[in-house]
Amino acid sequence: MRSRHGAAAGICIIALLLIFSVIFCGEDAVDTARRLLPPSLSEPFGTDTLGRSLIVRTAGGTLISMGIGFAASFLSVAAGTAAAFCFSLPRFPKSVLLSLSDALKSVPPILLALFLASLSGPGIPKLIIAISVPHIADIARTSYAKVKALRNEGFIEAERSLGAGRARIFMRHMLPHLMPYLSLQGVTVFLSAVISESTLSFLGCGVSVPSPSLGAILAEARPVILSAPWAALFPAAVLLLLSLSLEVIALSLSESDASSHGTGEGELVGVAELSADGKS
Amino acid sequence: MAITSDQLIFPGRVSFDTLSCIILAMKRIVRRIIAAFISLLLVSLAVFALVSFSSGDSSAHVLAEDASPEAVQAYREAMGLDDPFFLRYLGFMRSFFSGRWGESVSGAAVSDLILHRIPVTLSLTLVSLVLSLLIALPLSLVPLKRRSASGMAVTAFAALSAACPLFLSSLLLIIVFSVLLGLFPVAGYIPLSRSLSGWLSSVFLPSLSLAILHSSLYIMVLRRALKEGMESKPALVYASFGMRRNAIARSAAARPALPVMTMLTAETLASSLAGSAVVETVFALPGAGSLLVDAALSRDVTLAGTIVLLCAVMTIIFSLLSEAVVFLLDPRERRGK
Repeated sequence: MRSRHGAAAGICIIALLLIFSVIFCGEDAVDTARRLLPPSLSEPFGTDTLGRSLIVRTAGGTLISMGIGFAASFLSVAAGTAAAFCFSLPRFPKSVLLSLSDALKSVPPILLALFLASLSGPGIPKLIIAISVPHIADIARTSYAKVKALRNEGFIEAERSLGAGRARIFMRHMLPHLMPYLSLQGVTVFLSAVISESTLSFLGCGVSVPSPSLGAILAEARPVILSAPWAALFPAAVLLLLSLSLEVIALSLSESDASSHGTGEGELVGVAELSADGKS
Repeated sequence: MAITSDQLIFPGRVSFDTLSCIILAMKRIVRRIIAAFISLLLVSLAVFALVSFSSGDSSAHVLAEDASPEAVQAYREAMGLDDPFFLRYLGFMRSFFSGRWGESVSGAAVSDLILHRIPVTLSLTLVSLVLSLLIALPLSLVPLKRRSASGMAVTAFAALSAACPLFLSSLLLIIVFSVLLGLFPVAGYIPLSRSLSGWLSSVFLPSLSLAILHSSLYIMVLRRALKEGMESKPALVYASFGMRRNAIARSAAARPALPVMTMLTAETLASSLAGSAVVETVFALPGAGSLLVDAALSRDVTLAGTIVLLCAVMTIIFSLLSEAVVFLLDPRERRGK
């Protein structure tokens, strides 16, 4: 029960952040006469070193973060599931693709994004690809293992003997069993995308400069962090709130994923068997 | 009949055919090494394809903006950019493995640049590994019961540190420990050869921020493994024979958790370059990670490609090593079950 409350709270906070960012996002005009104004009623988050309204920029950055997170998690879950389905086809060159996915996993997303940025400059599509690629490999491999385990189950056998095609079996009967894992992965990728995007933008290799990003706002606020703490405080709080609520959702999903294995009464039977073995 | 704890810890110590075990091990090792080579081949091919795909850009960056087409063509021929793809790949791999990594955009040798920066990244990686184990191991051992307050506090710590982006925690540590308390330098690196205390104080905060992030992973995995171990059938048997809780935890939970911890350690070590890229930039340390960030900002494809390829090689080696260690640690693996 507790885990469900956690997930609900996390989703509520993310929905509130989304509403906040949709309401406040807009044009951020440079106005050097209004540099580094402290928070007030008209400027709830204050202004930055170029006189831009921080609440507008924070809202825009949150929106971009969420967009990238959603795109990355959708892309990696969809591509990972599709790959898992392809692996289960006969005569599919899966050993090649599995070692390719191992190879892709050997470069962490941030390094991959930095490398891609060195090729032809930073950009949002490259960011999404760099974040998704290692996760696609991971999801494909694990879902394939799960599909392989499911293939020998009785209800799949029954479906097959009724003449159902591979695609139908996969979509109707295997996908529901993969759902807990896939939804957990979706949230995990979302979280990793939000963190990677803000980190890369902080380093200057993420979202390109004029468009707002939580990481870029913090990088701009860093030199004045002691004289104008609000310039870093509010964007950082929003970023932390976003990632923390995603983490809470992921934790509660993983808890419910694990508790579905069922422990309890089975243990006693196990003891009886084991002690019988010991005596013989 | 009295049962000693030794019999309980090793209930199924059967003698098995040593020769067949060795053959099995050799087979697995050979298969893993082949797989590692295929991975390496694919990564290097991808990196090389991307680097050479964009190296048209490098002539645009190196030569003057109004360079004539002939000058561009001469540059491309001089750099060997007009050879067939596969030939250039072979040349690239040969020079990669013989340590000739070419020149960066600024004209310095890539190998010199990277080798100068390795000590910083290495110190960060090792100190952060020690710190993260120092944080994670004691915290993982606090009560594993579902509703205990201390257990929930540990979970909350792990969740918070996993959700906090690395650059944010680094900034926070700088503000609290360097600026407000003045305990550590704000930025900069002092080599170990110059002074031990200076090295430690320049490396401590960056390593701590890495360690906080990594320890969250260790705590989550280790706590789950320990909990599963304590709820496992062997643990119940030990308990029913009256074994002490600590002894049960040692044999039924801690030992089975070792393989997972080994693999996790190898993974964090292999991906440490990603973390140190962030931390080195925030703390202005001259390491390999910040070198990659500089390379990305200055569009230095050769430098960035070499660092990424080195990282991939390291990851592949570490995963091989960790599998070897797991093989030694886990008797089930040895027997091929």
